[in-house]
Amino acid sequence: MNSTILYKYFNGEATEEETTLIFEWIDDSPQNKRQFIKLKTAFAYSTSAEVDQPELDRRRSSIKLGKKQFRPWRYAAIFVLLIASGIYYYSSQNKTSITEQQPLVLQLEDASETINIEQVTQIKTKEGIHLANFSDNQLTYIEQPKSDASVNQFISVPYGKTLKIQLPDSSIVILNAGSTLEFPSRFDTSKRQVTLTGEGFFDVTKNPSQPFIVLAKNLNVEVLGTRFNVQAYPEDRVVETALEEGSVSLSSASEPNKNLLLIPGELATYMINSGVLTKKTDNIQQKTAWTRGELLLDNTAFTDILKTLERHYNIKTVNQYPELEQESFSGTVKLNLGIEQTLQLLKLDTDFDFTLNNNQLILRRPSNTNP
Amino acid sequence: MSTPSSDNKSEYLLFLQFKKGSEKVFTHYFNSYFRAVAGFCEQFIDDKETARGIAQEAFVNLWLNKEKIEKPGGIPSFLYTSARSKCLNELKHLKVVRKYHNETLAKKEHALNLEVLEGMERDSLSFQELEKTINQFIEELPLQTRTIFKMKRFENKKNSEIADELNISVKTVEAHMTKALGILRKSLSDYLPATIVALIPHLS
Repeated sequence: MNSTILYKYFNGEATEEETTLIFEWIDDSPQNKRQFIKLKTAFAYSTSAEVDQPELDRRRSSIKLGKKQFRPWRYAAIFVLLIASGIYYYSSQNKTSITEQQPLVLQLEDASETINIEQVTQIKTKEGIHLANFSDNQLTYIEQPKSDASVNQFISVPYGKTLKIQLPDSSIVILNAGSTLEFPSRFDTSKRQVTLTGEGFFDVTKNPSQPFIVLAKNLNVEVLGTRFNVQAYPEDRVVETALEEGSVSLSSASEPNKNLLLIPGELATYMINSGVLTKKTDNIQQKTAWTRGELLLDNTAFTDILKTLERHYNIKTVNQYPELEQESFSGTVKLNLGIEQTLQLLKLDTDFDFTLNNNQLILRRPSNTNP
Repeated sequence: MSTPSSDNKSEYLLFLQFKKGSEKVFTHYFNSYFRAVAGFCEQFIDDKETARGIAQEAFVNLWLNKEKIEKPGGIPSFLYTSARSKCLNELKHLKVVRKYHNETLAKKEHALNLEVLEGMERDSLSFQELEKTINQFIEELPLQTRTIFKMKRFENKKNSEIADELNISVKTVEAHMTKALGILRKSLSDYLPATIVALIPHLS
């Protein structure tokens, strides 16, 4: 049998005459029939329908996926877990924790006053000037009248926490775990300047006459109004600036007149030792995933993942399985899963054993490893 | 060179999220497999709307049974299995459509379609076996034919799109696909389910 005719038939393009020929051939011998069945089977499994994207989208959206059913045993399980963790907490009370949970702290004017943010609802100076309100893990600054003196604000977010701040100009900053931000209670009329260590996501309100400047190590990030992420942890040798929206201009302290302009979707890398400043297009969603409580891994090195987990969950790691550091991972991890679940998820990918005790995480070679 | 291991890792993490009920990952699978499953159904059901409706049902079924699937590779298997039994059911209850002038021809085709589907049902290995055979076969194709076959099969491109992209005529694309099918035919005469192969000691 002619392959051209068979192909036309499988493609639904054969004429009735050609189809008749095929069926005559099939009737000729059982071998022919067997061959046809195999061929049709193979074709059915390997072909695809000509469906364009709009039709695909339409068909997908017409499928309504049912919401989760109420399953009481789920709640029972959570209840049991809470009791179990309560017992654990009780029994571990007497041991000294390796990494104590630090408070969220605000220092006013050269550390003359230290406030534990989570224990108050209002931030006031010694003189009683009302600066900000705190609720739902958000610190909201109030615009101060020009007559009042500006008071320096220094906020530090410990490991295991994040904080959302609305600055006096209504710009939003989300500070990641292990970060600090310094800014005045009232910005200068000529510029809005803040100093960052660690990682922050900025959503800056537009004001062309009052540029917004982030100082991160020796890097100046200057903007008019935009959304971007700056990562500048003390232990890192680079400062990364990822731009989501708007535009920013970067310059280093050593070469203040040399500017690098970013457009949305670009990531700038500033090497602290060499002072080299470069940019490239990058996955910005990945850089800002932490603000949505996610960890987006895209062939991310295990050491980088560990660093993020240490900051986010306030843990210290001892790695007794050095080969792990050669591994990289991809996928999305919801950080609210908790450290154990997150590790379980990573473990499914590349096996390792771990124990978690008093915020100390020990990674080991899996016991059932195949050499 | 792509790195299959990291691809597999991200596929696996996606799969785990799917099992937990991620609609995003469901959409990802829908976009990846719908055309293939609909193409399968169209091989047996003449009415395109019915065929594509069956393919959609297979995806609904996948969502309802996500807990039972054990590995990412189980997803296409499940979809095909589900589509297969729905097609079979549909064909059994379908009156033979007057597709041809010759009524006997239409009846023969209907009967043979049933036989092909029932054959697949009996031989549950056939999908994986075929995957293997087809992948091997693709690698043996001449370069241009292989490129075209892959664009068609993995990128779901139309003949006209392939022709545009490679700057050749639609006729040439069809000629290459015909050639591929000819070679597939030869390599499939060697294809038999593993169980049967084991019974034939001197298969040349």
